[in-house]
Amino acid sequence: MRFLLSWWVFFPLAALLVAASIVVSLGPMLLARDARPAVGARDGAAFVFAGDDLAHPAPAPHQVFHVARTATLRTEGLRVAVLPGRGEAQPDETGVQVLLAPETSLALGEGPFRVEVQTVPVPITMAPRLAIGLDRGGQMEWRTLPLPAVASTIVYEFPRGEDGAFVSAIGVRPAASLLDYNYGVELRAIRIMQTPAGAAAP
Amino acid sequence: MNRTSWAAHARAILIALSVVAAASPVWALSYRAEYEASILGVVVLGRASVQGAVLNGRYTSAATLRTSGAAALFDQTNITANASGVVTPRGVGWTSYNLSHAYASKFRRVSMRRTGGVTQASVTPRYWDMGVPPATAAQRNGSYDPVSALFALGRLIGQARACTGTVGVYDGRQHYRLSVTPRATGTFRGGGYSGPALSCAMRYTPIAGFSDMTPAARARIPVATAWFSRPAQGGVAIPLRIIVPTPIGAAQLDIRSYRYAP
Repeated sequence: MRFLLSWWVFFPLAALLVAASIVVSLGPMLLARDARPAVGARDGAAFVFAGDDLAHPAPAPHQVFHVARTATLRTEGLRVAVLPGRGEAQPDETGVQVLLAPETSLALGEGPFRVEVQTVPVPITMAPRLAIGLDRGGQMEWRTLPLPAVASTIVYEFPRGEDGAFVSAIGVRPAASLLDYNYGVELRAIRIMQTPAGAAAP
Repeated sequence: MNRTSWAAHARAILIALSVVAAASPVWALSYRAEYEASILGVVVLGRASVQGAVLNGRYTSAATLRTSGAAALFDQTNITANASGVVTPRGVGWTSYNLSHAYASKFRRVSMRRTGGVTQASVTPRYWDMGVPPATAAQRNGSYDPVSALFALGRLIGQARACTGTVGVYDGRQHYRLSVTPRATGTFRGGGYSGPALSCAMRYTPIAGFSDMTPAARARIPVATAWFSRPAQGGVAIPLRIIVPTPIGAAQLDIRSYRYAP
């Protein structure tokens, strides 16, 4: 013990303990990340958001999210859940949003759109429904579909928006009726494309 | 073909070309810049980003802002905003603006649309106080949204290739004016940018929608020094550095990454 009281051990140890306390007290703030628009990967006429494109969503009230990673820290998916008692998605909710980079918004045009969402179930607290919404300014346009209990691709259709109303974000909002836990789903990829009826004029 | 008909044909071709030029894409470009805000040059306050794209006479622009470093210990603010509209040779006309503001587990969303020269704003939850005096309809309708204002100011500077321009801004509650005047020209190196730059005096003038803007408070608003990139003719000038004097030292926004693809 006398060894610990020598000045050349005691002071560095004290400094380390103080630093560790500060780090521990910061908690999740250390992992705080910017909400950042994603360009997406071009796949023909579609844009696909997967991997790191899903790692910087904008938060939403009454929802939580977690970026799932592999052992090598590569982004695997985005887990999104809703707090208990929130019911179905409402037009004045934004949902956890995957933000689209301006060049992607412009390239996608004004719709109509097909959005294909690749999901994998989460154990125990899998939400029964998933709403996907397009943010084109003003209120959100939500489409809610049942979530299969197995890995799936769910297809949502959206009509053409007003002239000049580009999609700035894709909102994600699970919905559940049970009030015991946060219920959610893991998203592996979102693919958005303008459907042929809305193809831009040459 | 005689000389007169040659001239007539040439004139007709020129007119046709100018009509086509006016009707076809004004220009296409995309840009992205990321910033770090600090005070006294060492204490990091936050991070910000601005990006935009122009295609076929239409633009969209997005901005993000997040407290980080020491400031995040006291205030955790996360702002994302975007705007879109049209770009014509006469100027920028915005049509849509959205802002999501998350702070201390609270959220506010501001959505504005501009149709037929009329601005309509929806704020959830509503502001309990719209300021004294509140912004008038004429002030709202004659202003840019905050994100488009930055784009329009950058375009004004880019077109003139000089620090000149004034934009009126309405953010759903407050109406203010941003103006730049020349200070110096030079070369800026840092944050991924290396090239000609303009140093401007940047003034922020509150006009309406403020609750605590006494004459004394107005008099204390400092004049900022802003460095902008000096793009090729007709481009958009991107802010590179903004320095605002404060009572405890200079607050500074510095570019950390830069991409500009005309």
